[in-house]
Amino acid sequence: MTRRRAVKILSLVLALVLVFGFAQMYFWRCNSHNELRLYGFRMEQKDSLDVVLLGASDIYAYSAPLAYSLQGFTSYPYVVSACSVCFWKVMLEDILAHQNPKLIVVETNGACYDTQRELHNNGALHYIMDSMPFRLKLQMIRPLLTEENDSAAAFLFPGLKYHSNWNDPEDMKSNFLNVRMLQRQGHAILRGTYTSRYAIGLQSESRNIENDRAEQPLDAEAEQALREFLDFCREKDLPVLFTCFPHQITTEDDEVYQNFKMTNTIGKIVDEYGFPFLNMETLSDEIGIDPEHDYYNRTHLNLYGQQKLTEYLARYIREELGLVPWEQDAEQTRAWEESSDYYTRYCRYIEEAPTDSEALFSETYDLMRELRKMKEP
Amino acid sequence: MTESDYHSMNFISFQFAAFLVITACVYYAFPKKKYQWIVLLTASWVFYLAAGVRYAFYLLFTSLTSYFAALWIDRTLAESKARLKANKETWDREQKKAQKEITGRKTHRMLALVLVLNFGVLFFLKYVPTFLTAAGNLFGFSDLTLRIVLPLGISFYTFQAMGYVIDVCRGDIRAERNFGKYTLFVSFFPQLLQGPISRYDQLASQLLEEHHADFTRIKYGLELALWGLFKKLVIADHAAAAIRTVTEAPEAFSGTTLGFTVLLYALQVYADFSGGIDIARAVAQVLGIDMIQNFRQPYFATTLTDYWNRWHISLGAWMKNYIFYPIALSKTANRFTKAVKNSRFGGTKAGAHIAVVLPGTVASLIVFLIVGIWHGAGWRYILYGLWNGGVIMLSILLKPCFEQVNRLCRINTSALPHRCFQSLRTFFLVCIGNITDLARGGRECFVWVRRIFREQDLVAGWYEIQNGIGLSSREYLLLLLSGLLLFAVGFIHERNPQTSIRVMLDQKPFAVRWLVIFLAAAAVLVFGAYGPGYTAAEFAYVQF
Repeated sequence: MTRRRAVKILSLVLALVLVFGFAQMYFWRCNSHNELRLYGFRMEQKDSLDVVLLGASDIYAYSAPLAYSLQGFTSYPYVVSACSVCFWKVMLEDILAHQNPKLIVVETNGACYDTQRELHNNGALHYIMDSMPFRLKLQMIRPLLTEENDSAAAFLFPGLKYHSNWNDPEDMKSNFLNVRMLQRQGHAILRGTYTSRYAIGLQSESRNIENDRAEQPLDAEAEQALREFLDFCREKDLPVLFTCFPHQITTEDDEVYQNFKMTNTIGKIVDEYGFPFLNMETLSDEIGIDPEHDYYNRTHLNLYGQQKLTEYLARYIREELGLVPWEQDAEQTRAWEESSDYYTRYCRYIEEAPTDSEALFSETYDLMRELRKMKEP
Repeated sequence: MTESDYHSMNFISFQFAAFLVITACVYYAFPKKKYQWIVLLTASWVFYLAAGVRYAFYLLFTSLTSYFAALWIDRTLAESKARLKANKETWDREQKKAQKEITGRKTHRMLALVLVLNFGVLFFLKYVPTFLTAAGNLFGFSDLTLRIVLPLGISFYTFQAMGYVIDVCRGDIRAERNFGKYTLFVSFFPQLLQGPISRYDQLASQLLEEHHADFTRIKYGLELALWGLFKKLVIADHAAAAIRTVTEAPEAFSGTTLGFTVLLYALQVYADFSGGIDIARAVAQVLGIDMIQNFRQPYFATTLTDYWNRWHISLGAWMKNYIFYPIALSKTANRFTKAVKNSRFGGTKAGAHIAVVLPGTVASLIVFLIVGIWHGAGWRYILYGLWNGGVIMLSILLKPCFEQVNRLCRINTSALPHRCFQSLRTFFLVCIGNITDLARGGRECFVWVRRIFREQDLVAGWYEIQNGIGLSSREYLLLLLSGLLLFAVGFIHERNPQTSIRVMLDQKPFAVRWLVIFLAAAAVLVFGAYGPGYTAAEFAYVQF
């Protein structure tokens, strides 16, 4: 083969790789708020965050812009739906590669998952893997390779899964515009905020768990992963607060109650390692959560629950844990002020949604366009 | 065979791509070119073993039995020839004839034995489980089932190996003495999954000769593979999902939708099968080997016979050589022809025509029945054979009548509109035959036909096609454009059979050439139905 031919072939391959890479970056995406949230996290200025929250969808109940406006510290929810304990360690390494937070808040519901359902659930794994950079995927891929799941290639190259997006131009368009919007903004203005105004109401009577110390063993794999994570945190001497966000625990919903019992077990395990554990499941009254009106489904707080929980947790972090925020430059202050402002608009906007609308709102180009149109509060 | 087994070394997988690159590198870099074929043999067995060690037994069995049978037949024929030569002067004609008859009996006995053994295995694996289940259902024993996994490509390598033994028995070729070389002919990996079924004299010498890396050949091979991938992933697999939706519950759809599905299936099965064969031929071409063409624009055929000369050509050739001619040219057929010709009926025009063509048409019917049965156990496959064989039989028997009608109506049979009519008519007949593939049983074939012709509901059909079979408007557009491209390429080849699109492309300026290749690759990457977002459809013919 002549040198010229080799160059020609290489250029063709390179062109294909570039097209594939570009398509994967902008079009062949899952288009979930998870991806955008983590994309936004990586856009945060290095070592600029005071607090990072790690865990699964339960943390949707927290809003970083609101915490900033209430207590003046910067934070970001490093959250992926259905994120199991098995991935916490790699994700924490990712957090530490970008930030040097004064506090890491770990929501523990991901340790209540079991092998059968969430730990190796293909869809949930895609939420996580599709949001990760390539080098981390390589670290995370091994436990995912089971018969039931997609191939390793599909996890490593989301384009293999999402190239069929051409069939839905609207989806491709929003994929592109969402990413471009974040790139133009330079950061995620709403800082991963995601919730709904919908209230599911109480399906049955609330269970009294205030003094309930019942325990339930964790899935063996989950417990092992939790202990490995705790070992890692202790080894690195990290400032970690373990916590459990509230859920709607009723007398007839055994599944959520079982999770509560597992949370008690987790509390004990965390205690063994000497880390603080804040079980907000039992503090619903103190936080002011109204089980009837503050959940959009039985495991997630809605906008009103989000406001109450964020207020409580932010105050706890400042007052109980004594967190003193990093000094910020003018540009950072301006950006966070803007976030607070946009969060207020966000609340106004979704409060205007019909009460029976179950829509969830995240930082997408169309939402931000609407928020920009709104007058400053 | 389970899906995962097929996936372990599917043509469309990263594993196979890596396997091919490694094989090609080792093959061309092999220092002793004389033994280069050993690389192919090793690769072929690695490929086969990757599908499952247990299947290798059957391949080995076929290779061994056909190898030793051919060797024995060859030796017997050679000894007989030598004896005849030695006694050329001393033996009279009768003695020579007797010697030939003895040899013929011996070799045919051996041939029969090896055919029975190998086709027996194929028959057992393919049909006995179905028969047992059917018998169990009939007599109320629901437990009467036999779970046998059909080895990968068993039909194709059995046909190929048996063709070889028959050729040796006929004295057309000499038996291969080296077992390794012979096994390579039987197990050459590109053809193992779905053919084409090659003849020994066409393939073996290529497999055994020296090959040096040739950029143009490799490039042509890769271009052909790209075209095969386009047909398979962009056309066939998109259509397959919609077809599956309808065939799983045809009762839920209108006759219009069933008719549309039959048309879609014609596109899908051609794109699937010819795409797979293109990839197989491309892989062989990358390794310096030319495999026979298996398709020649079948939907341009003007008669059903013409269609079968263009569709799955290698199977047709096998059937023609080893089944059709032996029947059509048998002594019984000759006797029949003579008897009819000498009868009063033979004196008429019709009688003379029938005397000449009837043995051939009966042979055709038998061939199509065998092809039908080869496709699977079930009445629908018998119907498939009967339909194709029957239509061909009638068309040949009634040919003088048709010609008379053409003359009376003053139809110019060589004019383009008539040719178009013939192609459309043939396509229609093919589509009717294809219903046996779509229906779930023999009886359901008739239900499909009845509903397509008697229960047309354009409004319901339009709604179902738009919303009910799982294809979006964009996918229809994709299929339409891809189908047109397929048609255009077929048209170019039909107009000038010597034309090669790849050679034409090679004559274009560099920018155009690479742009076309780039666009084709991008089309496969973007529009291809691959990855976990799609349910991967196996190549249709792998199951045989």
